[in-house]
Amino acid sequence: MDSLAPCELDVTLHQPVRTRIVAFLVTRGEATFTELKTELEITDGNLESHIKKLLAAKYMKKQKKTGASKRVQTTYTLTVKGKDAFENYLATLERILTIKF
Amino acid sequence: MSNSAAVQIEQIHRMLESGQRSVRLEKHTLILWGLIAASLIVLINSIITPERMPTHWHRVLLSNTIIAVVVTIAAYWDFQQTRLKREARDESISYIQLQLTKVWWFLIGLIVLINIGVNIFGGAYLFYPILISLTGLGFYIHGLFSQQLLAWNGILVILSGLTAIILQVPFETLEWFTVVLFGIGLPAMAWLIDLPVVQQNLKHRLFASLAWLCLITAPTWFIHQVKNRVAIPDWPVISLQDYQEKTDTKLTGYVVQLPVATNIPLTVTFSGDAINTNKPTSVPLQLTKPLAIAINKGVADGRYRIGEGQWLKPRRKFYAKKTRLDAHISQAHGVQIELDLLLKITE
Repeated sequence: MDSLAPCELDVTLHQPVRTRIVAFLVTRGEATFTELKTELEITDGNLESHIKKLLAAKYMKKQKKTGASKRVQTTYTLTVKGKDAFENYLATLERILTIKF
Repeated sequence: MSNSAAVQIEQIHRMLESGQRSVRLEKHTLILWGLIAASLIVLINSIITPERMPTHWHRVLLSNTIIAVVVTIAAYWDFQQTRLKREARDESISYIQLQLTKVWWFLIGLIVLINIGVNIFGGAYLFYPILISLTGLGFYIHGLFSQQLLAWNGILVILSGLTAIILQVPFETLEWFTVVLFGIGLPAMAWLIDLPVVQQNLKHRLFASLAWLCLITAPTWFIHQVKNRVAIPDWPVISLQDYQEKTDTKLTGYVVQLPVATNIPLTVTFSGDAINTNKPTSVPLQLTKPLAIAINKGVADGRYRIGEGQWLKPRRKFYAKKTRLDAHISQAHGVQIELDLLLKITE
């Protein structure tokens, strides 16, 4: 997949797992680590490394909440920067498709 | 390159849809609300009766108070359980789910308001079709953001409510359909929605939806048949005059036959803000068809037959509908009020 990346494609998002994480969060709003893992069907280590990259790019932020059972729960949501980056990424992909046809 | 881009876009679309349809309806929620709604309908209708509580507004107040208290307790318990279960599974409650909960609360509030409205202004027949349709609407909306089966079953429930009105399904049968829908249908749906085999493909989901529809209609049909089965009274047929003259009516049963043109006085009492009847007034009514009434040990047991038709049991004592109420003032006739009422004993 990386071989097809033209220079204008966002390198952070242009990776299948990270793109899927962001796409899932766009419509769901927020998700826990377990929910992301179940949805993507990948290992803990793999998911963790991709989350770290999205957090480092400030595309995603994590929030800690204390619930009814007093357990601390970590949830992940997209930042405004992340949403914008995703929109741009989609627009670039669509442009690539349009050029072909 | 464009092939990879197309694959990437397809994957994105799949994840967007997955995120949109990620709201799970918990099993305990469906079971809890199903059993509570079914129990409320059965208990309120059998406990709060006109015989036990003759004043109408007392019944309305008590029944709605019970509904409000039970629904509030159930909602609190459901809220707590859902949060605890989600936290135990390390799952969050998404923004869409919070909005859907508001939609459910809006629909429950609407149902309670309609219940109060029909109790005050009439139109009770429409209550169950509306309740059924609004429940279906709730499932349809929830299903748009959750399992597809929920949305399909929601549509089936809405159609059931509308069909009931079009076919003029008897009130009592509608009531039982509602009880079965909540008491059996919702717990069954709780089991169905998470079945892996149902999630496999479209055909399986379609089959599951139709099976679920059968599950709620079959018991209703069975109850309807049982409730409407009327044993033919095998008693001597006598005239009204003979019945009135008999002294041993409490020992056995009789069928009192009333011929066409029998006078039946209707005693009416009106009251209002600026008008009333001084004393009960009698309006002479006449039978237009022969009527047979079963009297068991001196008491009418509810069975009757019109003409040579089947023996029936009244679903209600009477069906009365005002078709016209006009007030006039003229030099020739002074002040007059005209009232047309439609009375039916077969409804």
